Amino acid sequence: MSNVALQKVLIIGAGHNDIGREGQHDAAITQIGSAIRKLGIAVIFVDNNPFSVAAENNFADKVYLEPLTVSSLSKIIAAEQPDGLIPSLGGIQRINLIQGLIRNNVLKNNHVQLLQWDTDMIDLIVNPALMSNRLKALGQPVIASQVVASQAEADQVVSRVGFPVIVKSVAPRIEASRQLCEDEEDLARALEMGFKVSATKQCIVEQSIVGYKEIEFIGLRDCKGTSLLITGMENFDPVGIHSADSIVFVPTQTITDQEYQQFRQATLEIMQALHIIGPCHVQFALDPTTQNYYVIKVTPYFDRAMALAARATGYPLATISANLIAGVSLAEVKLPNNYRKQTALIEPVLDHIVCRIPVWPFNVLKKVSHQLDTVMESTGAVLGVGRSTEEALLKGLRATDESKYHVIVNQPQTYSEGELIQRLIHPQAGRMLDLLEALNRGYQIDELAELTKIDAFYFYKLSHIIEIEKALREHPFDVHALGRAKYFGFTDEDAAVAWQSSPAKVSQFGLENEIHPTFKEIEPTAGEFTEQTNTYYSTYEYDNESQRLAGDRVVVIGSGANRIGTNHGNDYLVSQLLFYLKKADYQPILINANPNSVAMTPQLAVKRYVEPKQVSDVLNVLAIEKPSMIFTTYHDQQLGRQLMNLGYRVIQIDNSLPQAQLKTNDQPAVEVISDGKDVTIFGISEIIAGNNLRTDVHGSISVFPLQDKAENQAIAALMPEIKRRVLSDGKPGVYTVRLTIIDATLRLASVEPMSIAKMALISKASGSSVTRLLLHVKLGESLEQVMYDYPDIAKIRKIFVQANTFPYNQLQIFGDEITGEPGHATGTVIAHGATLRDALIALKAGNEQTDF
Amino acid sequence: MADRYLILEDGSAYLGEGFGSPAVSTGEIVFNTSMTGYQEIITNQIYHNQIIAFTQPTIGSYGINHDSYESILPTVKGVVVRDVASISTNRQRRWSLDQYLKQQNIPGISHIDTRHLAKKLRVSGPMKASIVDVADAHAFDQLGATVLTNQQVAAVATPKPFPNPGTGLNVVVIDFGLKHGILRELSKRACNVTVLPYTATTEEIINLDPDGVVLSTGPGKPQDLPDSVLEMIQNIQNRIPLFAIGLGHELFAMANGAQIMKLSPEHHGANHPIREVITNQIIYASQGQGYAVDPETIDRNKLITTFVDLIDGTIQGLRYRDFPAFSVQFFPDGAPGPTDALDIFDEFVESMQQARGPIW
Repeated sequence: MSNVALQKVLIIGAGHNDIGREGQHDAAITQIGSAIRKLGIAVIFVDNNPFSVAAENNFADKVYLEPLTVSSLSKIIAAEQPDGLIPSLGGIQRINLIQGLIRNNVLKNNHVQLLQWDTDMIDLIVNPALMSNRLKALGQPVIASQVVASQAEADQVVSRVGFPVIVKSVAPRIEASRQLCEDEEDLARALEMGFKVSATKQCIVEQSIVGYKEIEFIGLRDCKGTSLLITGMENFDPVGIHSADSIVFVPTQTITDQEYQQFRQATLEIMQALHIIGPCHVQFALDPTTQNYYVIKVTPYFDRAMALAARATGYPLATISANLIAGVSLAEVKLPNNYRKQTALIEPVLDHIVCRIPVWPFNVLKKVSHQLDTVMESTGAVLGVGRSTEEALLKGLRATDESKYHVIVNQPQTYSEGELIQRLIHPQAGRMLDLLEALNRGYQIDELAELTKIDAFYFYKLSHIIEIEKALREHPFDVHALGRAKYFGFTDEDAAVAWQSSPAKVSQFGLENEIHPTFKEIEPTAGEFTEQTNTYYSTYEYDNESQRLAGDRVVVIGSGANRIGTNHGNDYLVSQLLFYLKKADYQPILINANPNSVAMTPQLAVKRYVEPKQVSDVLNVLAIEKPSMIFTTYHDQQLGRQLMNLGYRVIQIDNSLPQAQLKTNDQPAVEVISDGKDVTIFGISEIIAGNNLRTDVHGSISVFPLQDKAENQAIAALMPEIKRRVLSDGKPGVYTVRLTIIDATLRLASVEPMSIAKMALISKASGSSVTRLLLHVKLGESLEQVMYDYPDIAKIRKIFVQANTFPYNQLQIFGDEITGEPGHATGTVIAHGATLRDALIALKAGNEQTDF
Repeated sequence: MADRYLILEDGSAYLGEGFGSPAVSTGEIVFNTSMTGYQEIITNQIYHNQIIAFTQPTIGSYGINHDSYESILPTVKGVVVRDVASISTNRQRRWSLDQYLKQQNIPGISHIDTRHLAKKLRVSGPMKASIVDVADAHAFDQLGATVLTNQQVAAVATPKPFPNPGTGLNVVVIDFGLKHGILRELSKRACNVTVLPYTATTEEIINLDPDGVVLSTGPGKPQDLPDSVLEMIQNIQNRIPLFAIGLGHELFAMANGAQIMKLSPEHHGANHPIREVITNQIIYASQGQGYAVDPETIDRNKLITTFVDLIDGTIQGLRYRDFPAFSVQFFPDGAPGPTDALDIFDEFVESMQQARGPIW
């Protein structure tokens, strides 16, 4: 039974998107929020991310768009008097905030119960040294590490743990990285530097485990102490590369049952000892030669690995976690009836392989170091799902949309032998090319495994891929070669390149020879039981499990990997499209390979295909579903055109995030919607250049709605011209009409599709989803039918403001690349106030980088 | 690698690629959903004369290791996988799976739609199957005509006693197709073990003066064993602490009047929640069972149910009310599989110590 005392809970959102903070938190919140509401518990949700799907569409009973600060949350808690606080949904940034709430007695004074954890868990998370001691006390092996204040003390540590060691500065005054020291000389240099930049003149000397295998396990535990393993996963790259920057495979590929059970047991024991309720992610370093291991991190809050575990296994992790958080035990969890009754209690097993591949921002930010190390630099990731390691890897690489990854178009690299070896030892983003190059140059597998510390197993898989590609090239239009290539993850496009033919011809040849794709369900019992997760992946086997849906099917192409700049809001747009398509009685089907995407939330699409977006991949899905329409968003315009040429009805949503920054100050714009025949105004917005506020700020601020009477009148006068311009291309859509002041007169400057950020801003300010309005005019409805509930904008008493956030701290960007261009943004924050000044103060309070 | 076929009694044929031995072989096909531990599963004698289909798609990725054998000589009839891994062999990983199966004369077949196969077998239950070079009428006739032996225990259990010396409690293990994990756990607890053939008489057992007796795991149908085994159990259980596992558990139940039923679908994996009745605790353990104790036939005056499978309600553990005799259907030693139930071995040791009484 659920915790009867709980009638209202507070969920704190993750805040703006960022490196390491994609949609995974919001995806968890949408599912957990709705599952908790189903238990009859009210959900209060606070976030300042305009792209939060959980903040719209009734995923919570009450939403506060407020800064995520101790003072603002204290007010909300005092006003709402929730019974409990769910601490695990907003990532690490929220843990610090909860620590503040506890220190200020906000939880105690308002009788708010900290759900899921003992109070001291907060300290354990915030202070790794405390966690390390706690783990040691539990008998778990942890890495030896010590704070030193002199060379002599450091020498003592080294004499105990031996080289190599890692040296880090304590409380560094500049962004200081970890130094790997192989010998005395390295150590002396690292210490000198470390002491110099440390505010306390101290360094941490730590035993190095660089080169070990990095293994991650996800467990789940209820309030009665029942616990189970969700899955184990294995990093392709060794310890030393941040696991978010590493290719990760689910399930583990190269560890024995003894090692696997050792990690399973350790994970469950740690959860038991720390009384964790809900999921927990434990990272291990495994010495491949001795089988000794270390616990390197315990993460009891939702993170990227949990999102991956849920997507990879098909286990309804978020829904079940919501029940556990509310005090329901694993044995009592009631799942929707597409799942088998005891699914919550069945330890997931997989009969497919999932590979997560990171995507880096380096094609946009070119002056940043591309070297991979212990600091996370990727902005997003994609999944490849298949029935072999090769297939999962090739599909994953394809889903990154970086065509250079294609084995088939992989040109020989020109760098010297010495440079190649350096690249193998010191990996850079996109290292897959270097590994393939080394294999092509005839490096031995065992030699490569030694150089890179990547298990030889993977090099056998890579050489197999090279072999298949070679066979394909040498046998044009050979059924066997094509069948084999497709069986291991190649596509029509790949074969077309190899055979110097066209994908259409290859596709025709494949169909004539009965090489058909088959779709299989991603479900957590490996075929032992009947589960309906409505989530599929393609492979080339005997049995196809995906049957065409009944009803009016619409395929929506998802946004793919989270990238810097232009697409961090795209996932919000796709999620909203799915939500409102379903509301309008369509059967929305999503194609998407982003594990952190909110659009993957089961409540949104009726069916999901975890597939890359290459044309042949998409055509395979379309052949099954035969949709009446296909929706594409900004990044898939080319794909949309190709599908249109093939005779499909494609609705292209071309709203994006702007690439370039507006340099002009205080530029007003009219935000409008058109059904192709008429135009209606949402309201007037304004852009304030960020440098109006501070000298060293990045980016600009959007304001909506503007209530300036004089300006409104001037704009009313321009209305006929606005209408004419918007209607000139006749396309229904939402547009931003920019105005400019020439000779003291307001003139019309440009008409462009409204940015997704603006759509989110207006949706939040008006309470009416702009995506829904856009969808309906795109579907051919008139403004009269669509705009019936859009509020009178003059009556909105608040002003909403919005600004971009940038990853300059994580990426250690220097100099002239810090421009504040929207193309470099990874997130957006929103705030509101009674006056513009109040709104800007709230915006500033809520921006964790304080440099909007 | 050569094209080969997996053919099934129901007339279906799956084209795949041969690995391991090129032999033609016939057995009963079952699917196993374990995520790791192919070596332990292949060498577990409970799979004698069976063909194992793994649902985990990549098998063989860490080779064959000296410390992961569950019997010295595997006697499975075939290994069916989606993908078999190539690996480097070295001192630690002496053999690849392919090399090992060649040595042991066991055929393997890869590139099989094992998900489709599992979904078929979950409905049909195990059926006869062959790994062959040509899937013609002749091959299906051969398959149809093959009669699989029901003397599996006799084929795999030791014909002669052998010791596994230790310095602690004196334990007799009755071998029905012993899984090494049992010896490993007894070794860890310093037990001085004598393994006896399943034909051992009560007298032979008592003469060794054991502190406890273990009835081991093994293959096949418990009803196919001679009644003398049940008599031996009846004579031992009220005199010496008894711990029975797998086939041993089924025999222990039969010796106390319960009946054994065919289980469909069978359990082969480690993903089922198992509830310990007395504590209400839920654990996970390796299972490999085609039979189960019929709960209706248990004499509740004699036996109490200690563990239940929460998926299908099958009995997973029994205990004698009046004597320190108990049994589990699952494999508490793991290998492969979770270690949640290892403490049952400690419980056995405790019951032996108690029965022994204070040492003067």
